[in-house]
Amino acid sequence: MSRFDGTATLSTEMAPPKKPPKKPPATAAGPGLFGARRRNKSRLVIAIILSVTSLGPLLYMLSLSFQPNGGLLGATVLIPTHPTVQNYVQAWTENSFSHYFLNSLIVAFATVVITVVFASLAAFAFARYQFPLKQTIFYFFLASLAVPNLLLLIPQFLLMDRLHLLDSLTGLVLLYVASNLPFTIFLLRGFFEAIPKEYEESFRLDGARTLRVLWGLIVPLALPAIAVVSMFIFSASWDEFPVALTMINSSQNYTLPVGLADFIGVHTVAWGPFFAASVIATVPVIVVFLISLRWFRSGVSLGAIR
Amino acid sequence: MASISIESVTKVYPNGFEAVHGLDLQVDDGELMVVVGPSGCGKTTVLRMIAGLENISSGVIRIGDQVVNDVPSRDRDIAMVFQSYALYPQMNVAQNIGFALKMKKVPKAEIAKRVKSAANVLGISDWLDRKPSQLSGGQRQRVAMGRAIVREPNVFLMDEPLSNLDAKLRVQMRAEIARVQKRIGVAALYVTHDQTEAMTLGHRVAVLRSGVLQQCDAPQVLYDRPTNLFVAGFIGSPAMNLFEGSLNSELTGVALGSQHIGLSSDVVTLHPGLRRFAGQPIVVGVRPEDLRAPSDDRPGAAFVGEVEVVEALGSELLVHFTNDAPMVQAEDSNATKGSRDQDEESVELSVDCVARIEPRHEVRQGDTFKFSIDPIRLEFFDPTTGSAIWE
Repeated sequence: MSRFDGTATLSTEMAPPKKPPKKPPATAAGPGLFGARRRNKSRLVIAIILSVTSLGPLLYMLSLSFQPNGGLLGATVLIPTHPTVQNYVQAWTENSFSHYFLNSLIVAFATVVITVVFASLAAFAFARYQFPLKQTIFYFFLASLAVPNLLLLIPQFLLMDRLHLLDSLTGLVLLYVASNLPFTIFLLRGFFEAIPKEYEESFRLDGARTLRVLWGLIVPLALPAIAVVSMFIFSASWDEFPVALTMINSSQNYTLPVGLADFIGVHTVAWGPFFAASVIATVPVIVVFLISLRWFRSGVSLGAIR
Repeated sequence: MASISIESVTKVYPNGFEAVHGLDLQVDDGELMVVVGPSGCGKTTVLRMIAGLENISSGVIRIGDQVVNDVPSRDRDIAMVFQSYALYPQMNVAQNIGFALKMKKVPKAEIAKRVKSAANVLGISDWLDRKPSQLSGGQRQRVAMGRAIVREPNVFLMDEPLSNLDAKLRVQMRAEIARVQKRIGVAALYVTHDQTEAMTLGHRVAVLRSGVLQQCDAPQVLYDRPTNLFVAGFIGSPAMNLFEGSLNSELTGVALGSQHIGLSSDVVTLHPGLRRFAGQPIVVGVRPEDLRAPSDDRPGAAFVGEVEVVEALGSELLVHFTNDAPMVQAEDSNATKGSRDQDEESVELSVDCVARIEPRHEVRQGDTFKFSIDPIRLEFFDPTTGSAIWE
């Protein structure tokens, strides 16, 4: 009986961190100081757990990248005793890593630009125009979100083969654009619809044509949203591995993730350079994230344009 | 510069709602026409049809000599001030004002010059670098006006441009709008639900109700000779008092409840149509200022009522009173406007009648007060059709 009580208490103690209660507990006699403090404490605990789980591997990677001679995978010291940048030099100069880096940069930027341009056009049409089968087409786009990308790998491969776009960055960009479009259209449509129609009407009365309305008014007003989706698209195509691995054969067209995998040999793995390369690979994503961070905040207050 | 002419224009929305019905309206070059009516009467639809933001179901709209039914908005050369101003948030004030000129491919130096001069006219020169979000309501309003005047449009449209301002600023901007319109001297159409704005701004005022034009005339004519009960109740604040009365068969008097107002032969001469209503029920209208406090130098028929509320406005007293004369509430009249959100055209029971008298009179709540009416100032309406009785 007492055991049972014990577990029961434990479960109520454990419950709040998983799901912060919306209502204060009935026993707390209202939202008292004590209740609030306990809630804050449990939030702090969750925050710490989450940061450790997500930052931990990152720090480990960073640490190993400075270990001399690849260090040991079993190293338990976070701060290397004899730190070295040799791994970085090796990673950047061997295996055409810098070339892969450039390829990835080209693919990611091209994907972002092309996706945003096409998604803006489509989202504008969905947000502002009436046309036959509008909703059906939109749901069709949405439905494609439910299909796992890996499932499409073989059809995509065959398609690219027919288009003679196998083993080319163009083909890769095309596939990335295709996979990013539905979500981007879905997101931008919502933002475009939230922009008061009067702006557009006033723009037209001032002499603007439809495309001018889109690029001169709607897109600048939705810039926070566009910055946010651009960041998502960038990191998604920067990190993408399976499609790139399938479509790209020659090493001159390798993107970073594929190039990284190259560090893992059949018999040996150069762990030091591998982790150094991984660190370098995360830098652009972090930079893009920091740039778009200010838009995250203003994106929330898009309604303030009124 | 051009006139606007609207010929038998009808607007039916896809859901079958007829917003505007067979409207004929002519706005001359340089004229400021105000379209007024309760919300949902179709006045904004009229404006949007002229601007090309809304299709026309049938009829013709001309700007100058050109039929613009199928001309896109951007080619109509129309300046419009929106209720929300619709200032482009991403542009500063100067860019906002100069945008239409930029679209017309006016040289940059010329744009800068014209923006500057428009800003001077409106007193907004100091804010040219600011974003609209950094401006107050009144300042935004001025920028919206600046955007309209800088381009020297064919036609100037305004959709309730003052409704987002506080009362004091509204009065100030009202004068400003009149000044600006005179300056650019083009045909202007101004839409409002506020009859005070309509009366003070309009060279002519068109009263719209449920998409049907009720009367279009100079403000004073609307006030003095409303064509029907709706216009009588809508124009004027406080609204005209409307009573159900009955005319005696000799046309010498009209009974309002238990009270009798004597009518001189002048009244019948002025309203010859009254003869058709001899011995019949009739609606009698009295403007609040025509219910005077009794005085020796202005004889009139007595009209007694029990005072319910006295509102002292300094320059005048608004005396709300009741008596047994049954009142008619004109549909959508001013008195019911405040409480009515949708366009419900129901006849409501009136609370009381209102008199506007000079402040030196001592009137207190609960008093039985004897007002004086000059019968020649009365208005008469047909109780079945609501039309004013003149001829």
